Amino acid sequence: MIHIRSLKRSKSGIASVLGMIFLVAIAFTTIVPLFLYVNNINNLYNQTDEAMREFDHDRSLESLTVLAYPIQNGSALNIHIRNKCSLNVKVVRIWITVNEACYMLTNIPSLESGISPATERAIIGVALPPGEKTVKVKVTTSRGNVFPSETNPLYITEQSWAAEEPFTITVVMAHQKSGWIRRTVYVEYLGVRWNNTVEVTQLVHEAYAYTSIGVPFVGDYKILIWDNKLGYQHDLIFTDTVAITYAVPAPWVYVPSWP
Amino acid sequence: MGRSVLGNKRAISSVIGEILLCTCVLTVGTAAWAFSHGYTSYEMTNYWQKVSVNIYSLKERFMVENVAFNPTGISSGSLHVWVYNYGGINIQVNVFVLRNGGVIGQDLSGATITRNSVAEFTFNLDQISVSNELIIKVETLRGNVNYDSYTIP
Repeated sequence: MIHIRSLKRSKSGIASVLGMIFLVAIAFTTIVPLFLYVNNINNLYNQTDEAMREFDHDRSLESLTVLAYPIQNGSALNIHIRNKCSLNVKVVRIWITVNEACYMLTNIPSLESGISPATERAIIGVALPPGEKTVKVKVTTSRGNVFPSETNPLYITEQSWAAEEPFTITVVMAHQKSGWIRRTVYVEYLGVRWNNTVEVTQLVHEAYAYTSIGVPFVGDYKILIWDNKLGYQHDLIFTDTVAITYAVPAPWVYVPSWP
Repeated sequence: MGRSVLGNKRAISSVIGEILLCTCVLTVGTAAWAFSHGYTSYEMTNYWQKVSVNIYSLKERFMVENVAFNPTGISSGSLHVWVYNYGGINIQVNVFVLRNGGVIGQDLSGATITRNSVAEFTFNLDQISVSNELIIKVETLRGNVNYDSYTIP
């Protein structure tokens, strides 16, 4: 009797057991793999994020010093590249701009292996077009940094060359007699918005007062000079336009005497 | 004897009932399993597509490497823009040239730049003059943007 009862019970439980098996099977064949898959993808995203963060960090650490100078009377160029950072740096391209015409040097044999930390590579005798020219050099690394040459821009003639100092305008103001000179010099770039105002107060003994004003770009600059003897910007005594070029990077402006 | 037959008949009906119940469970269970399997497969694909877009977007690295202007007239010329893809994947870019907030040149071809390579884009510009400040905007089809500025020499 007991045996029959247990058999009945077991028969009536088969469907429940089957249902439970299906539930477990569904859980293990669909929900668990979905969870693992999503987890893997999230891990992949995080790994990529971390890798790119590291890449950007390495990029920010890159530091090169580039020095370019002409040889053979300006018909060729030597370029020295020194790696100042702790990473191996691979230079993928060198850009040489000659009078606004661009030349791209790639697959340079001496740069194929990259530049080890605290070492230097030289690219010797890069040919340049003849004649008077302005040359700018910059190098691009595999991590996406661009380093301009410290001698940019080079102004080369057949006889000489010069790496430009910062552009300046020197104002020479004549003064008839010895004494104090008080002037306001205003310089404005005729292009993008840039201007500078300089107050000049000098005791003049030798008939001239001087002041130099640094300017940032090649191009035309408007100069206005006021005499301040009777008050700030009392008399506008001089206006002129001065051109800054690579050939004349530091022009002088003569201001006649003002009574 | 009669009792045992009756008892057996009852047993048969309960067995048939149990078989029917098991069949129902099997049918419904199989259907539920098939549905859940299909649904999770769909969700997996869908999730991967969404995350992979973000992963590829994270991997993009590009910059305006060089810009040059060749004047062709008093107020016109061609602007050359070199875009360097230094990331690990290929990118597709649209390039815009802006002046005073307005677009004066654009390349909407979605040109592909393969990884670790540079691509040149040329724009013929009119009504351009010395000292004009241009903004070059490079936008990938995945939505990353990079800018550079250039002053006409």
